[in-house]
Amino acid sequence: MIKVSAPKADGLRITAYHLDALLTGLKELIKPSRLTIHYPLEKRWVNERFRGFIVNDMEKCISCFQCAWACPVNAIWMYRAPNGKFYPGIRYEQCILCHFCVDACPVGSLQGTTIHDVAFPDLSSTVFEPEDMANVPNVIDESKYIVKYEVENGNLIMRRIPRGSK
Amino acid sequence: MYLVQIPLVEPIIKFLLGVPIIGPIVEFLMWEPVFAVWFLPGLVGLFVVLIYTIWWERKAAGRVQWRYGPLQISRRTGGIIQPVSDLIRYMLQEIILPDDANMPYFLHVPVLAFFVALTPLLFLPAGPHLIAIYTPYNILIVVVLLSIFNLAMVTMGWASNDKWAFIGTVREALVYVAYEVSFMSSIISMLILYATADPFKAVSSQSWLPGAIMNPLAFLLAIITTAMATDRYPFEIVTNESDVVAGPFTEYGGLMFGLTMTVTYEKGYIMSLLISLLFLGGWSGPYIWILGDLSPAFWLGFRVFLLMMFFSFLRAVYPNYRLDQVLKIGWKTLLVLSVVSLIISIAWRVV
Repeated sequence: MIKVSAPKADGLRITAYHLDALLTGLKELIKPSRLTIHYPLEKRWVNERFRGFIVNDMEKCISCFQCAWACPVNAIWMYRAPNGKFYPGIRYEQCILCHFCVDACPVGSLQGTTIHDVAFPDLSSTVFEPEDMANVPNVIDESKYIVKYEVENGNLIMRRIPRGSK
Repeated sequence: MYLVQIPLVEPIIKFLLGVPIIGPIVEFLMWEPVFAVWFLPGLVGLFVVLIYTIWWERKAAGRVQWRYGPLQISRRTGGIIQPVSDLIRYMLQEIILPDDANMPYFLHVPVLAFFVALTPLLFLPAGPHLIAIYTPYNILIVVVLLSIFNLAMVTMGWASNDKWAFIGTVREALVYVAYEVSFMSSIISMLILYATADPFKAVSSQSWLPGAIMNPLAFLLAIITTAMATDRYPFEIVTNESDVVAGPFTEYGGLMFGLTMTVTYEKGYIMSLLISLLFLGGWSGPYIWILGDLSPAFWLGFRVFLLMMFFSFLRAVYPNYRLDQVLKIGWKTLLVLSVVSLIISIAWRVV
């Protein structure tokens, strides 16, 4: 058994430790080095073609099932349409936005968009049937800043860019 | 009958004194002892300090821990009205009464504690003309009356008849005996230094050197024991959330919890007032003409705010001691230090 004991320290060193702790706290109090984002008012910067919400063009779709085969989480279900063909619908509660289906599509009818954060009122509305797949959801963007993380001299810093200026 | 003079609101007061029914009421409120009880250092001062300190405590801890703290309610002011919204929430919540609790004590003690424990404020001045009851022994009376808080907390925990409340109560009793001797002797060493228990004479004898420099050891002791007494980190033993939920207050909910939560802040307010008077030079500062009699209260309030902010700030910096460690510090280190501080004070008197 290993017995852990408190490190030996004399009065002077204890005082130094206390002062050090208080000074560190004071430094953070005056200029906190926090990296938190105020989410609805600030958004994190992402690459221009970062994978997002997926839409389908039923005109182009040839009903080949490639997207459903490719899907690693079985989020794509094929629905039979009145014309006898099958069209994909995505369940967003399962979808991991990997865009394998977009890559697998031979005619480019499945397309990714740049919408990354969508809120659903309930579970049933996360199920998108083929008719819903065509329209892009209505997104209200409240963000005024875009936050970019950068490494400078080994320190992680965050930079706020006003929305309009890119 | 001395009315408190404030040049800033003088015209309004003069006008109100002439109005038939409101006039006598205003005259009564502006009468020195009543003003001291209701405004400064009494209820209004207490509520301003309470709201600010609770907000500051959460905000400072948030900043140090790389969070934002309360922000969403009134973003522009940094969420300063968060305690008010909490108060409204407490008022709307149901007060749950446990079956096993000793009902009369359980219900009455928090309310009594909130008001009766304010009696020390009757004896503390906020300036040369702001005091409710003046005797030459005011500081000793305050130190004795401070123990009402402990009595109330022990009664609350006992009346709750709950496991966590009982453990919290026992802890409160143990911590109380650990800090009380050192706190008393740090105050007594200052009384020996000034050779008086009169707050006015104590302040006037610090005119050229504050008490904290005359006897730094007593000041350090007073700071540490106040942190212990008001349940501040690193001595948060009684209401330590991870150990005993909320200690003696575990069974309280709704408005009753709001009352019990403010009890420790009240104690912090009174003890900060005491420390400001005895160690930090009281209300000494440049006279502000426009505030009149409130000018000393302003300078005293400045010190009290700084002290309360410091005690709240400790939460963000320190981890917590165990109960046995606190008892060891109280009975071993602080007791020795308090004897040394008494000797320093006696040496000052003799030399």
